[in-house]
Amino acid sequence: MSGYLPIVLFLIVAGGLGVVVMFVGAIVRPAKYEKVKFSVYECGMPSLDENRKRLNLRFYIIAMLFVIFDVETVFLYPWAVSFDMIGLFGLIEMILFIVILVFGYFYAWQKGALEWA
Amino acid sequence: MQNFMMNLQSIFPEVLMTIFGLILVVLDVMTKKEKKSMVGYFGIAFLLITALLTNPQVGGKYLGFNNMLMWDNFSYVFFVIFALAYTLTTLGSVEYLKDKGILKGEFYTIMFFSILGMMFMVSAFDLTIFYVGLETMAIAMYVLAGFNKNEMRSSEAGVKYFIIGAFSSAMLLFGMTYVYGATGTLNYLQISEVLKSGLVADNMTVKIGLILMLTGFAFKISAVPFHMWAPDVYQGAPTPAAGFMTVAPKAAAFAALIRFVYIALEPAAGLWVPLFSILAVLTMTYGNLVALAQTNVKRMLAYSAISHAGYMMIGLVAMNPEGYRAIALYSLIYVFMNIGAFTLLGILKNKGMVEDERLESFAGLAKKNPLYALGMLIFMFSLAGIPPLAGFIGKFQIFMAAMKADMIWLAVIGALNSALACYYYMRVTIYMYFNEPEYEVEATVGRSAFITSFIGVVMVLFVGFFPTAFINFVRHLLV
Amino acid sequence: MLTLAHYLVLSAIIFSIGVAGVLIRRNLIVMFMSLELMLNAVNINLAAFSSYLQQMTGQIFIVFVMAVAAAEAAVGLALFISLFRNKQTINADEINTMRG
Repeated sequence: MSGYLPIVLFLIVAGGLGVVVMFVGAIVRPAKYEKVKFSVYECGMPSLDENRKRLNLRFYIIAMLFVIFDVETVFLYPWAVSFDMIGLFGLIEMILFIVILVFGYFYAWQKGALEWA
Repeated sequence: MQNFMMNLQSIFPEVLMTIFGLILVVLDVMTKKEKKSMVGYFGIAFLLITALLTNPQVGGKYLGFNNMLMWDNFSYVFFVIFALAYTLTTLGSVEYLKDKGILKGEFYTIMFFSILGMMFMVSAFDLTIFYVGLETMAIAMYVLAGFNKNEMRSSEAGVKYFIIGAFSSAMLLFGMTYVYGATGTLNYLQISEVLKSGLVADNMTVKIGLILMLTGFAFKISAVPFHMWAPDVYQGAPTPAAGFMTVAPKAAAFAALIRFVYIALEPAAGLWVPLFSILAVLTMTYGNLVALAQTNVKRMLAYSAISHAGYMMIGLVAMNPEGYRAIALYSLIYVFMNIGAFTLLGILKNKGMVEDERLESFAGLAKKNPLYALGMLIFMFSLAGIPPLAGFIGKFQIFMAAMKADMIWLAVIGALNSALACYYYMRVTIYMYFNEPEYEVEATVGRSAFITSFIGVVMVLFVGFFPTAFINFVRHLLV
Repeated sequence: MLTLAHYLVLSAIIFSIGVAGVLIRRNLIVMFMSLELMLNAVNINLAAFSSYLQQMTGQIFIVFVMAVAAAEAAVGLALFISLFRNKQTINADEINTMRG
């Protein structure tokens, strides 16, 4: 378990530093409360309505497409790592794989899944 | 180079199907909105081409990719079964889908890709390939179950199927990891060798893994007590999709299960044969008993689908080639009679408007639509297994396989169950022929529905009267 | 030292949490997250066995499991949306139109 000792030390130092800084700050700083201080910080603005309202359905469709096409790249990593061993054959196979994905992309595009309006 | 050719031959049908599937996707995008049924017809043509080009002659075996993928007669026969299921469903679905406003090319594309998944399941000699094929099929089926997104029942069916299906897949997968860990391989042949060598025979890891895997399989073939999803899914799904779902995925799951247990688990028969014998008895009996109580014909057919899975499991535990040949024959016959019955069910409408599946609605149909009633009668009699119709031949072969394996008690329970099942199938025909009409029900048999049910009726009669041709079709199957 | 057993216990615990989540929780999204938990337990198992056996097979399987899980997620979320549009709820207890 000795290998984990640096991590434990790191955690203790990190946690301790946070606690120390907060205490020192609370002791040292002057305590003046004004209205401005309780307003939203800088670039934020007071919210206009409920923040748990429904989102446009388009977001979900984009998200679904993203999930699929994003995760398919997981196949590229093992291919890239072993590329020097599988060579041209591997390249052709990967091109075929991408072509099949392009068919899916083409389908989504033609069905209007990528249009926002 | 020779190695490469062997690999190519083993995967050639799947490659062909992938190319055709991609063409279907493009066709779907190209065709006009009211002509989407063309996609389905093209799918039929593509399946026909694939079936003609990829027939391995009897005894032909193409094992490729380091023994991971097998194309042989067994794979081919099951591919023909899936192709027939697709063809009949496509032909029978056009009017139904148009009526519901969901005539979309995706219905056919998704069904086509699900067949691709089933092919991989059946030809897999490796658990990785099997898993990917299984999920290709299963994900396609979730979409088909929830295809009518305007209707609540269909959405519910889709969600239920999805949760239970993903749950059972995860279970199957978790079992696979233990089998992999204990045997050090995912290949069926190597698993069999390791099990045979007795190194891991008493190993707890491999036992837990196998039990988890078989539980996952039991979910997929809707064996009692893992059946609870089946009635809801089959009832909620659009009727043609339900017909397809009771037939093709079940046949695929059985075929994959046969490959797995007959090759990989052959040395561990002591583990799974008793398990599946009990499940078979439970499945048959429970499916039939609950079907007796149903007043909705679609739900009754869903429970009857469960009991039919029970009959097929008898062939599984028989542990002889006759057993799985009988399962193949049974699946083939089941395609004709069940999809036919579902197609006819789909066109029954109350006042010509609302889909109607109640048993009382069948009252007096024989006078209004004699042809419709006759078709339904033949399908019901065949499902009940009354000689000389096709269903009888299927059951007979299954029971013969059980007799040959000295499992007479199982055959007897099966026969008793089919006698029990006669009651609820007969009830539909009695309502049609002997009761007075209660509701204003109409059954307008359109052209495409007529073709499907006609093919179904002809094949059911043909198999019944000339079974030899079909028995020959499966006679040379070897796992 | 971490042995194979540690990983197996970890994955068994995660898998059990996933199973319990699917069986107990009633929000479909949470049920789906539990399903993903089950799949991740599978991945841990595969990685552990693969490293223990000094083989690549298990790791390749993980890649497929991940890809399939993504496809499943997309289809599942689409189904949930279509259910929500019909029923205005994603509570599993209220999916009870069909009975018998």
